[in-house]
Amino acid sequence: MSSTSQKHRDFVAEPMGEKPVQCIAGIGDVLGQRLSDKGFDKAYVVLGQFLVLKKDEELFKDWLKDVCCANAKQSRDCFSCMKEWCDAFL
Amino acid sequence: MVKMAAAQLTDEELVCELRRFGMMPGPVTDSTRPVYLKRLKKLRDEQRPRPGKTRLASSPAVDGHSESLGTRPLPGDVTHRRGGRHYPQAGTQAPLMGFSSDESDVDSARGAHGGRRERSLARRDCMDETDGRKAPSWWGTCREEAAKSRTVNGSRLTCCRDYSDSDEDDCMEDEPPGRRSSRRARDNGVEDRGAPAWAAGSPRHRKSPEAPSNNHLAERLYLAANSVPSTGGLPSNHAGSNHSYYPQAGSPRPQKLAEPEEALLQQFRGGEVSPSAGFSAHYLSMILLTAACLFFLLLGLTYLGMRGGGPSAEAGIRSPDDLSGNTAEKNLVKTLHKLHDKLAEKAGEYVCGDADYSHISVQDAAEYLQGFGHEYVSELNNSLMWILQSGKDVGIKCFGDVEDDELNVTGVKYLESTRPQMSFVCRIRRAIVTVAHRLSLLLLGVAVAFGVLQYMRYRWKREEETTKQMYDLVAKIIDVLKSHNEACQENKELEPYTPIPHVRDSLIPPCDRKKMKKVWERAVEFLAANESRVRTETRKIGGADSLVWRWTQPSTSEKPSVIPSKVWQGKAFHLDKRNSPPNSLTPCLKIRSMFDPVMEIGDHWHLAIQEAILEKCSDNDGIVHIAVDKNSREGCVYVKCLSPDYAGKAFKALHGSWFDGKLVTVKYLRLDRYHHRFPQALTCNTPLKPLNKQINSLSHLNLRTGTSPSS
Repeated sequence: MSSTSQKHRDFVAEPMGEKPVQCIAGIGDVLGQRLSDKGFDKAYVVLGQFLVLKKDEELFKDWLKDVCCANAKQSRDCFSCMKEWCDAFL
Repeated sequence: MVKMAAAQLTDEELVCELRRFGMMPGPVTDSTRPVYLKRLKKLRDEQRPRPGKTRLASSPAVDGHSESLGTRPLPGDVTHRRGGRHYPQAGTQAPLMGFSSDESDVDSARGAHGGRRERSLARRDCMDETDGRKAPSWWGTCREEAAKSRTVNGSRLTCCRDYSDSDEDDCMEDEPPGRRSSRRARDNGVEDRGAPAWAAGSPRHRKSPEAPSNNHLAERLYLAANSVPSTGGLPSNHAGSNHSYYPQAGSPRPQKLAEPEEALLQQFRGGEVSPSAGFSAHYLSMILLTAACLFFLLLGLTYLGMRGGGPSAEAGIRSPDDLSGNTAEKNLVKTLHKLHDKLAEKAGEYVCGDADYSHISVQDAAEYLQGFGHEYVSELNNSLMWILQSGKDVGIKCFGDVEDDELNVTGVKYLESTRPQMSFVCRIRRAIVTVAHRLSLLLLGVAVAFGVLQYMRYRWKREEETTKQMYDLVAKIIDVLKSHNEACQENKELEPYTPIPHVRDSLIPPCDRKKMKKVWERAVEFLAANESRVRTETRKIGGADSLVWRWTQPSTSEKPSVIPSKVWQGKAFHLDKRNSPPNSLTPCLKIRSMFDPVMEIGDHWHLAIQEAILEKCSDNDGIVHIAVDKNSREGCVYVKCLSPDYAGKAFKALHGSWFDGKLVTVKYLRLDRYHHRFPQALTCNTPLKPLNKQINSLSHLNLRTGTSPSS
């Protein structure tokens, strides 16, 4: 398995609380700004979308690509981040 | 066009469509809607893959609200046959005025579910009507109808003026009659594809949750069927543009609503690339590559052939040509040319192996020249003279029977060309031979180099092995000496030294002694040179002088507490609900910080780590696979257990422990990822057990804490 980033580990390690969307692995400043502009300003809003899409990998990645033009790696990171967080805390 | 249809779906319909494809979509919101639309389109495309046909231009004005149940196209020539027969409940004048859109939509409508459902219905109607396809003409119309009914998307015909049932907006679309024949021809082409889809579609339709919609559709069908007689007198519809849009009935859904989503889907669609283009490009590049290779091969062969042929044969003879002024000289030059050509040919044949000699005698030359005329023969002597006198290399060499520098005309017996002229085939052959020769030399060189390299590697490996053995041996010797020293202190009667051969014999089993002789000698040398605690002395033992080792380290000092490597050193913290997952989710674990790859030496250190993990989890008999990632900087070890419960136990045992001076952390790993990385773990079902019963890695912990290792 590919090792995860420090950001990923940090995010997955604890409840997300009020973390901004930029804290999610795969979401940097640029994507975070785009997401914020569209109303996804907190990590839990993205989580909500993730859950609304029923944790479906493909759908969530598609959505991320649509909404903030994320590339494949970014969307993959973001998805696995969400997924693992849910696995751990939900 | 399909995307337009998809874009027009309401949320509920979108969910229905997706369910039909076996998906369980979540709620459709503003943010999830585009994602689901895309997915629907993808599913539709997968459902009905069809080789791309040329896509005719289709008007964007066709923006029918594609309620998939809404409307249905019908060809005119069918309608009068079925009028009122199947749907007698609606007998009034039908206000429907349109037909299906053009065939081009069929192409893009490949996935339109509505189309399939309509078609299935149309087929059934046909079947009912035609009593099992008796009449070919009827079947033909059925086919046409079926084909048309596929043209659902955007091609909503039927504006219903007084059709109160419809709360959808319908658009009407017309088709010029001239188009129909061509379409019919195409319909035959798509027939075989249509048929199975119909067969599959029909039952599905019956089972569809929207059973009531059948009536709705049936009414619509009937209206469409009746429409033609009534609209026959409205030529404007038929003569109108192909895609006219009449927002007459109901409240037309505004076109602008569709546009953003359409744009989105357009963007999405942009990713599709025609596979044929990539295919041909692939072959083109292959052909270009091959051509280039052939070209260079030919060039090389030609070059070699030219070189084999030598420089231009004419160069040497040009010089006399320039000098010549009068006829006599011209004759001389001509003769020389003839001679030169003949001799060059002969020499070429000799080189190629066709002739026995590269030279010809003067008599032969004279005979040869005879064939051209007498004046050449007479010039032969002159030319020979000239050749001899000029002293330059003109391409012809004269020599006689005896090796003599002073050669006169009469002494010349043979003539030979210095520039052989070979035939083309011969040159090619020689070139190939040359190339093959050089290639074989090159290959030989490479093979020799490779062999040397292999040998060197083998040597290095041997060297490394022996060095390692030597160090092992040194360590053992020191151990023996140390323990002997300890024994001496307790039991004063023992000699405080150990004969070297005894040490050797106690350490190396008899069968290995010969093999290990070199290693042993090296170890002894190493000890003599680099070990200050061991002194080598000569003692008389049993009447014979013998070299002995004496352990000279002062024993009074406290033994330094050496922390052995690869041991567990206790827990860093206690696990509770805060810092561990509530329950184990997968049977796989990833353990970090078990080792530092830079610090590890030798080939089998990973076994020690495996052993340590197994010993730590000795009460856990569910570990079936352990993999040490030897290259990972983080010191990762992967563990697979029989079940998540075992993994949970292992997690508790390992997480937060100190191992070898490092804090070990564990996290769960998904099973599929584990198998992706370690396919061999798929078949591992037998629990692993620690090989060594002594539990080495925990002994230190036991010693220090005096408690059980299981915490």
